[in-house]
Amino acid sequence: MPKQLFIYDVDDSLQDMFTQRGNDMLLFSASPAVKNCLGCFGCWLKTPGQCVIPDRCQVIPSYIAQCSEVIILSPIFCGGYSQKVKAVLDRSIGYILPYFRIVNKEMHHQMRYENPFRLSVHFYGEYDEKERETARRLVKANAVNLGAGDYSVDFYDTAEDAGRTLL
Amino acid sequence: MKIGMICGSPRLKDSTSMYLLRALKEKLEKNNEDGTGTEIRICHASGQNTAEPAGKEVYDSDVLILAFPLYVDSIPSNLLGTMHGILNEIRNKESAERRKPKVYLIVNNGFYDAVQNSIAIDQLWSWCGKCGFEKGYALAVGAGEMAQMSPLGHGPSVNLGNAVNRLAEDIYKGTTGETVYVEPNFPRFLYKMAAHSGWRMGAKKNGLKAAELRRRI
Repeated sequence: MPKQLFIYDVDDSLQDMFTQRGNDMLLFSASPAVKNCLGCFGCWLKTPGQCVIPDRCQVIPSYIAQCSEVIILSPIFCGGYSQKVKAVLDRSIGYILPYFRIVNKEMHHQMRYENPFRLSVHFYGEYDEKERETARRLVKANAVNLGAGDYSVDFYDTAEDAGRTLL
Repeated sequence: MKIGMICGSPRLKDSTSMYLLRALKEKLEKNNEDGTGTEIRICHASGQNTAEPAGKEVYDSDVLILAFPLYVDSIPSNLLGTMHGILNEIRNKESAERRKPKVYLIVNNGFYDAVQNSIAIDQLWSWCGKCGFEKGYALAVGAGEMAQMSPLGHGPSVNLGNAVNRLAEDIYKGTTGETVYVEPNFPRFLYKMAAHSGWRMGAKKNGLKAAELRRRI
């Protein structure tokens, strides 16, 4: 299971830089924005494992399930993901189960898939030290909730800088 | 005093965030029975990457209250869109054209542990700083799904009711401070059991067997 899933949010002018990547990677551009999660729990209670909104974002949980690494490239906004990337992540909770479990004395969700993938998050843009710390805490929490086996967080000034490192 | 409230839940009805905002609005109106002209308005975060309709609440308010649920450890994308929109507008707006409200937050999550809201709260304070808004304080609510199961101040919602009452008083006083963490008057292991039972019942309502909730695509 060597596949990588690459979720990215970059300006249109940089799309080619990322889409020219080979077939060994599943690519998902967060732009144009997918619809926001409705908070309906349909991905848990109506069509378990898949979002009920019929658009291109429905594949994400199954993509994560077949990958050994999930790479996210996002503009940093207030110590977190951009709205476009967050819309993809909010629509991905079908990957996990509604049921709870206790991890490190905190309540989290049980796993639908046993796939301890690596979560690699790359933020770009302007940030201060506090936002950098918040972003690190966020990715760590995401890794616990998504059952990732390992995670990393990196920061870049621009998407081009990140692209040169990643591709 | 003008108070603007933004509901950041993507659910258009029956959301915990809107329930708590309405409860707070009621308390604020009750505390203002002597009539000093408090005006309170509530709107939804549209999620369209634009300030509207929330912008009006922000620019013309002395106090801004944001309530939202925790999604994937963070702020739901629809509210992020509204935050983007407001920040962009503010960067293009003359300072004289708007007020700089004091901001209070009500963040709830489906997990029991209220502390898991702290990342989203820090993100909101970062946004407030960029907007030039003043920080009030945040109410972090664990087990938000339980909030509407009994009247505030009763049963499992005693702690939450007290916290909402205090928030209503503090808003008029202009109190600032650290996050207040609130969990239900109900043990965590029972909350977990009740939630699991609720999911199984939800499956049945949709014609699914409980085991089908674990289906893999």
